Amino acid sequence: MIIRLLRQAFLLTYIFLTFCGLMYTLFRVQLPHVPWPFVTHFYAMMAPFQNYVTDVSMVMIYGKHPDGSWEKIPYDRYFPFGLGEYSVRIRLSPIVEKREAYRKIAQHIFEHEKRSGADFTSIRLQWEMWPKSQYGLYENYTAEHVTKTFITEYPTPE
Amino acid sequence: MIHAWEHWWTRRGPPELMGIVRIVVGGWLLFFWGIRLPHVTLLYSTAGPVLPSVPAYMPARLTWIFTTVPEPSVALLIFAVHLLLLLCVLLGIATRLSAGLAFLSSWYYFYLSHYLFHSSFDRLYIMALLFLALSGAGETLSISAWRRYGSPFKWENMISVFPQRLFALQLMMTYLGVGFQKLWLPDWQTGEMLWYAMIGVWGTPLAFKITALGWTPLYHVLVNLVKIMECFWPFGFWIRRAHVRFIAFGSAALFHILVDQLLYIWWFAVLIPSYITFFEPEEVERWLASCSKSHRFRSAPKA
Repeated sequence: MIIRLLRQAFLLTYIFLTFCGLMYTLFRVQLPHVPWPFVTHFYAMMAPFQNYVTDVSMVMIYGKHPDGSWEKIPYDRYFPFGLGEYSVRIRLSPIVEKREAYRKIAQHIFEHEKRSGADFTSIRLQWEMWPKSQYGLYENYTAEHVTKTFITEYPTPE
Repeated sequence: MIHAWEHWWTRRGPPELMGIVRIVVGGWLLFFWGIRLPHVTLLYSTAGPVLPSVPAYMPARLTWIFTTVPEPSVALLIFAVHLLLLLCVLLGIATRLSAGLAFLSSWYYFYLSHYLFHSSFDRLYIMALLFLALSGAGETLSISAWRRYGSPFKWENMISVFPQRLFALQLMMTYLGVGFQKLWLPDWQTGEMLWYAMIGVWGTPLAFKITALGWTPLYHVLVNLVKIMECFWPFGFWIRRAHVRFIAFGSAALFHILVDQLLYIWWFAVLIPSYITFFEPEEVERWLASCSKSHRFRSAPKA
């Protein structure tokens, strides 16, 4: 009897929370008094891939040599994912204090590169954006098309 | 009506269906996590740029579990335990316990790292482990069955269909939300949605080969076809008449294969064999029995 009751309680709770997720998915309505983390969990299982963009945006990682030249560091040296997964993760969407988080990433990469014997004097993260092309992801990755936005540099330049 | 509700959700049935689900989910998760083995220290230890998060409502004295990123050796140990739990799920060794612990360790990894990807499949995998922890999926097609009944194919106890129904409900709601949302999302009203997805960071070499041929209004047709099918599947999976459900299964499987080939989003491939949860356990039992007429799967069944 107790197991029957527990089962039904679990089921009704599950259906209710699924319904809450569906309400938010379809109508952007959040039912009152339902904690947001629960709504998010069920919403997230229903609603990937909602929009598109016409540009490629990616966080690029650069190391600065003592002579002032910059070398691009492959992202997968520290983020062993496919490009799609990396581009979502590096946005750090769930993190509120993004500036601090990017700084921690730059710091980690700087310290790791130092331990590996690299002569970088600093590590920079920056957004790079260029128009998508039907012929290839990097077809428009040229000086005239790319716009760069500084995120952080570690250590902070004087 | 209450009796009919309870009967549909919780009646007992042959365990082969959930045994197959257990093998599929356990095997898939073992693969999904196993391919991360070369990168464990980078992904989950102080050796990598790990930015953990703390779950909401976590008691303050337990937040250290997530805020303390482990040293590489500890991370490897935790990961080894996680893989071992998934292996136990696959083989059907203490299924409820191993699935329950794997459910917890999956949440640990979610808040340690995977939350940054905030994907749907991560959460679906975690819920699948919860359903298995509630199930009798180790009753057959398992090491447990081998020990108890002398053969991994034999069983004696019927199991509740409750976890199977939860699986099916979750699959149905996933497609329902995904499909019906597209009916009003502005970006899903034209073919540009598919076009720009294929030429973005998710595009595969095959996708770029196709887009290099140039734009065509066919992309509008394909986007609308996706919307129609995603609205059809949540209901089509349940309709047995005129083989409608097989049309739903087949078209959904084709969709996921194409998404994998064009957008390298392979994580949903496990949904294809999971469609078995829309069958009744007796159907699967009959099919298995017909596949192996000389081998009786049951010993002495108990209700």
